[in-house]
Amino acid sequence: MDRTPVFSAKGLTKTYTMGEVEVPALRGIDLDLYDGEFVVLLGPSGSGKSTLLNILGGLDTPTSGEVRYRDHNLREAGEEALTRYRREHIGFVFQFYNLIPSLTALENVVLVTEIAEKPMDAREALKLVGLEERLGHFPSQLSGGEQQRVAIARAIAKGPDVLLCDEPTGALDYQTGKMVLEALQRVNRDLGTTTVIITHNAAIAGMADRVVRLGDGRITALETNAKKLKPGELSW
Amino acid sequence: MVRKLDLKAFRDLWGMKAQVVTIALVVGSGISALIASLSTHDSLKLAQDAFYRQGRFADVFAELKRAPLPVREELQRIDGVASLETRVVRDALLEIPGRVEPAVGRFISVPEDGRIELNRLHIREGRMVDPARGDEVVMGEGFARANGFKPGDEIVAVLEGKYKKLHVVGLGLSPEYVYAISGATPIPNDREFGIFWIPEDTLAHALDMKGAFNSVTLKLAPGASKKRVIESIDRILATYGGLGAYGREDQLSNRAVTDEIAQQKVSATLIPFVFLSVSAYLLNVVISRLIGLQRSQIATLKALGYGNWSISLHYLKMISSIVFLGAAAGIAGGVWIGTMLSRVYEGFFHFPALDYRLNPLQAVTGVGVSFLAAVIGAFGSLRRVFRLAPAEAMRPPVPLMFHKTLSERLGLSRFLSTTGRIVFRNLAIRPVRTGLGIVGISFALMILMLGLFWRDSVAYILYYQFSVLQRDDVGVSFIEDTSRSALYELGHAPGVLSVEGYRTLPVRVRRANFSEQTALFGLPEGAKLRQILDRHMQRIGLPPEGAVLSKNLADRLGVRPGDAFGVEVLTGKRPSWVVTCGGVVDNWVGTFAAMDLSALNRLMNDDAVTSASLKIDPDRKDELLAALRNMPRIGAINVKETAIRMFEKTMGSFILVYAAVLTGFAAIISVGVVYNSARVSLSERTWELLSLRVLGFTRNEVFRILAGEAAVLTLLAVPLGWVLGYGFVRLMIALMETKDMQMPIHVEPSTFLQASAVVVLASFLSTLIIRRIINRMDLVSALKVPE
Repeated sequence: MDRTPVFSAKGLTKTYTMGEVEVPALRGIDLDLYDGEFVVLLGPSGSGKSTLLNILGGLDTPTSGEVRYRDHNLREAGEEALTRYRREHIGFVFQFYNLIPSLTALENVVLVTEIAEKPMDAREALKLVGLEERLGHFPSQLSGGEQQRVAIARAIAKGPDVLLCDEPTGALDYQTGKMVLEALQRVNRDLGTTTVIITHNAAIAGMADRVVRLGDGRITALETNAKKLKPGELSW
Repeated sequence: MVRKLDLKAFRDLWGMKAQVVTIALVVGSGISALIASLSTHDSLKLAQDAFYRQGRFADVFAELKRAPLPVREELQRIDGVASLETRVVRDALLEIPGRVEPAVGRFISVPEDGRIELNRLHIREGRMVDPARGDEVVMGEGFARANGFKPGDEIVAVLEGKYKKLHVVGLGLSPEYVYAISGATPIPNDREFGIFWIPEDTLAHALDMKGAFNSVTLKLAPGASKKRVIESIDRILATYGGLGAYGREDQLSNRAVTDEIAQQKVSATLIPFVFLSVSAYLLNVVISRLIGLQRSQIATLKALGYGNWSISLHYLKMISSIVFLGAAAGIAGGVWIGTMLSRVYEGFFHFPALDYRLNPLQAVTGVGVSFLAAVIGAFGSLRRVFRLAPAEAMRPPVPLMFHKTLSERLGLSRFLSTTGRIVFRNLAIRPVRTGLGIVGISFALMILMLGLFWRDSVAYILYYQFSVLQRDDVGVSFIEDTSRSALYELGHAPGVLSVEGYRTLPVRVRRANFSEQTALFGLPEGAKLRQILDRHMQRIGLPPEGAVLSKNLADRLGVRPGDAFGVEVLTGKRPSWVVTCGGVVDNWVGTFAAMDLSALNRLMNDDAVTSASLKIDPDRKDELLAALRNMPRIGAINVKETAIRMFEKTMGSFILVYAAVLTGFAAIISVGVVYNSARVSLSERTWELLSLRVLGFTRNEVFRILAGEAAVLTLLAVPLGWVLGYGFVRLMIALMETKDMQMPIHVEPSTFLQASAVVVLASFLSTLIIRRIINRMDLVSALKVPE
């Protein structure tokens, strides 16, 4: 594995100001993520994992500290640069899929390939998540798991360098959740896309290269799995 | 408990202040339109009634050549006459130092005791003439204002070829000349036509009318038959050159004022009706959507134990605030516009007091209708929310079941980008809402066309009257019938290129039981400067014998080409003839009968003309006008150029106010519809749009989706608006038609385009506000639960 970090965060803090109260979400994070890695960020709600993911994904900016994506300084980037950054490098998968309800599965994927520089074929992407039979269905005609897999296909179709997944199985049942995790693992393995999953489900940690445990805005533990499990071998 | 809800109402309103303002403005424009037009109509009507009452405006008028004073006694004895006044009236050219354009004064005698009984003079400034001093006059206020005269000034009149210097001692108004037209042109021109009141002795002396009169006005006794009185007058005056008595309804000024008030009544009923319906409709749509957006809040309130009634009351308060905010703006705006319109009317209607008055009942009606529309819209939505169990209502509404639109299934989708499909499917999935939006915007376009088409119609009339019908540069009327040889003299006047003479005879046309007083025109064969045209601007040739009739007159007489009808001439020896109808002309303005001049003269057994038209060398205009003023037989000179200028000036301000007001309203409606549609779309789909932003779509790309929806609504609304607008213009014109005037329906392509441009621009500006909201959206919230 290449040891130049894709992401590099140093002394990262984030404080939200809510009226007169200051709520620290991140209290100094030092973290490097490497190319092709499959990382699980694990922590209870309020641990700061979503905030960290948002900053890595260019949806939010840190209060202090350094955060870099390769040669991009994300802390200094303006709104336009961040939009371009998300567009060119990042694929997102959300807990609630965030599909466009008025577009079919295929069109939801095409939507992203239209704005990407070197996209993969939209049908190809859907085939990779096992949805080649459901191309013409609208989100309202798909189950939750299917919708999440469309979201994954959409995220990978633009050929992102990094896949950021926020509780991708949070809204899904056990079986469906596993199918979604399988799809994510296949993408990581076949396309070599750096994948970061945040979850509060400790069981998922088993399929990661590395597990980052977060608590109260700090990294509490960094673990490397000697053996990665297949989603089928996980149980919760 | 209710206090906290009030706080919520206030905060909610504050939170959507842009929507509150746009809706309130729509409500306001509806109320403004209602108040402005109805009150203007009322104000005009009140001013007319008051002036007629105070000034004792006569019921019957008659002009004649000359009758000795004792005939008055005979006239007074007619059954049904309450009071009667005889006087001397004569038009005379005026000399205004330093001015080349001619001006005509109508001189009306003031009795020796200085007391006018009928058509009383209202002195605005200065004083009444002193009959003992022969050189005093009261000048019509309109003429004085247009020409810069004031009491103390002097003016010279050419009475029977004699120059008479007169002292202006006062400025006055008369109910007889509220709309001051001479009869020579249909358009008032205060610069060139003025009314003067002069001691009877002075006028009679100058005109050799001592102990005689040439004008009669009278008031009828209650219950008297006007028709019988008129017949009696005509019988008595026949030997004195009576031109036929007529009622108030045919008096020039009164007819113009009454017609205008009647037309104002049409627009005063129609326009506010349109406006109030449009604003009520928008209010209804927008309020019901707003409440739709608050459904989870309503459910939460219900879950907390608030009853339907207190929740309804809460929304009622919110709606009332919006409606009453709009009402306040609307009433203020209505009064302002009404005042402005009244001021414009003051430009061509000379009333002593045209005070704008607000009728509180109209304000209450406007506010009431708006409020009702809002309440109906609100309760419709509330009922839908109340029907749901609180738990169900707290969940987001069931997602819409999208499908491919018909056009897509037909294979048209390949022309659409993916974001284009988002636009079309979102519009297609809510056909009712989309339709309502399109209709709302098309209403704005319709209102714009109602405001702008006047300009086209007036320009068309101007073109028709002055470029097609009347191709001369200068028109002159002779004081009385004049031999055709006078035309040679005119032809040799400086700068005259060509000259044509015409004859106008006052006649009564008869067939069966119908008779009507009108004018019979004689036009020379091959006339070029004056023509008879139908409404398609086709020239109508005159038959060698027989008369051509305007369609309205032919219809009333029941005459068709080839039919014969009776003509009784009301001047000279008063011959009567039977004339064949040689043709019927479908024209725009006026009632007339026309004949070949030679044929007419053969019937009259003489060779005379009463007026002439001149085509002139424009460089020698001043020289010519000076020469014309010195020709003794000329009673009036009309310069076309000045008439056009005056017409444009008076109508111009009217059109400007009208167009400006309606353009403003239409812009408000467009913004109201487009902004609120887009705002509701944005609220409903924030999550979806934010998701796009998170995926890397720029603000612009996301904005284009909402802007695209607004653009589709607007573009579909444009043709519908054209159809509605044109239809409404037709309706309004049809309702405004009077006996003598039909307005051409003429809307220039540029008006369609301008109206569309305003609507498109207003839509565009509304979407820009939406853009600012998109720019402020918080990306992170997209990752949370969809709302």
